[in-house]
Amino acid sequence: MVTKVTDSRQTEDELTRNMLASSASFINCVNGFNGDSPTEITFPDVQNIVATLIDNNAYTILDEIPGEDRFGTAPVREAFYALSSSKLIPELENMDRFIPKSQYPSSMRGLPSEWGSCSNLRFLVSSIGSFFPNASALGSNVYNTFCVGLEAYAYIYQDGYNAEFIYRPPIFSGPLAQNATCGYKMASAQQILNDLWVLNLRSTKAS
Amino acid sequence: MEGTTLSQGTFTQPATAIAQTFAIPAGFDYLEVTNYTQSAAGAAANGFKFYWQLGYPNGIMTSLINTAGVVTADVTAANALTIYDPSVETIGALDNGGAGVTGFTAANPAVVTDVGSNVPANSIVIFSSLNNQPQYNGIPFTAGIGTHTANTFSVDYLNATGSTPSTAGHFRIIPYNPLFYPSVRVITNITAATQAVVTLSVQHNYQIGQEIRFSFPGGSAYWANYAALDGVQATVVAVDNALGNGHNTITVNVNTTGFGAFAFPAQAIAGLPYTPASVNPFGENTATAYQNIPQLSSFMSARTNTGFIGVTLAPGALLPAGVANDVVYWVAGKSSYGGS
Repeated sequence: MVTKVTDSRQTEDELTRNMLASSASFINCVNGFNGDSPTEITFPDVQNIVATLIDNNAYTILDEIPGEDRFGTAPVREAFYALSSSKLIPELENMDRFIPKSQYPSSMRGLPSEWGSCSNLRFLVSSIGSFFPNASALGSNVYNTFCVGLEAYAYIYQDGYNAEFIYRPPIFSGPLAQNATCGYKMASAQQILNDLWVLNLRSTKAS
Repeated sequence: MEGTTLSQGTFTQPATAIAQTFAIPAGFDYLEVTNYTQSAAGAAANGFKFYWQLGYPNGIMTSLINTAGVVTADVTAANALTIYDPSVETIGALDNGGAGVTGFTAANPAVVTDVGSNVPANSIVIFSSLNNQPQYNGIPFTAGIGTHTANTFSVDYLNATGSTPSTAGHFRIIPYNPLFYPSVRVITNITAATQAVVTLSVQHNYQIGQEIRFSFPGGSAYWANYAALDGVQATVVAVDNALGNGHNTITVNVNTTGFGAFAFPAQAIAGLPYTPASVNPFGENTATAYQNIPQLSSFMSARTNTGFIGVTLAPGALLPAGVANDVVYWVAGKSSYGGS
């Protein structure tokens, strides 16, 4: 039953993910060394996507985290979200100038799903992150990292029809009250509000 | 209640038979297909009755074949029936079970040789590891409308003239379009004209009045004069949504006169990583949209979830979707007891 509750909210995430994968403009990572197209994600690719978002007048979502006098920490710039797959964690950690969440000046300001930051992107990773199977030049999976500015897209709730979890105890199943049922339903709509403020940075694994 | 959940419908094949996909929202445990056209006594041996139920292996259906009124029993080839569920991120087998790409012509349209690949018409394929045409790797293409045999298929919206033919490589069939419409499409050609005509790699189904934005990442070093279109917003003023080579274009209100012939970047031809050019529909030009009949819905520029649960039937003389101009009926149902 707990799984069903999780499924409900996860379905909403997956729909938004699929909307972005279908509709957001894409830029391939081209500065890596794995010989594929796109390549693995690198710092110059991140710089390029940040510059493009800024050039498109996108607003950052998160404020900067100022530096503090603590060993091993570094200030974190104001940032766009980068919604990515947890499969890319090794590539993120191997990227130049990547700051893991544990090295933020204030660990309280990292989001639960956040893995770290690089330039003006803060990477949120998920096991249901978007990818296109076998879609690279060498036939590897292509991972989509959606780099989004403030109000780039919206999840539109429907009046009176938000996600509902419905449990019916066995007494409702029939005269012998043998089976309980549970399920969920919801109605939702997803929409890119400004196509210039969300870009899909596509990359592959390093190896 | 499940035992009473029945669905039914019909379709008619066009002049070139294609795979037929239709919705069965309640799902199905069995499916019966009747080819009305081939049920009449004919000289050719064509299947006219097909049946599948949960548990049949590899999308195979049992079938009856009509040869001038003489009926024989058979089973179809694999993948005669494929359950359609675009919410699942799956992709086809390498080379669709074929031996691998041994030819990719430099022609319009390009024609691929891959022995035993059996690509159905109107499939979407994506190539990898093409040895002499790396610029086409990783791009989804509509395939098999112009040519589709057991061993060859056309890449219908790609003019590969001038490229170096490949002799090795691979492909996979992408079973589903992107879940949301309208979606980003990759550009395979743009004309240099007062109103540019843009050819897209996969059937686009855009409509007049939609607003699109061009993307040419990399600048003029990659795209020569066409780099000037990067980020440019344009209105679709005409569409060609017909199937086959020379179609699947949009005409936009952008003057590209003097831009020269469109070409894939030299860097891509050299096998270096690059981002293909693309168009992203993001809104509508209301004035243009409302002048056109049928009018573009005010909501067509929204992202519409096109997903549904259903089935895809493969075309062919001995397959359930039939051949050109066949009229086909189907009934699907759910069982209240039993399983695979």
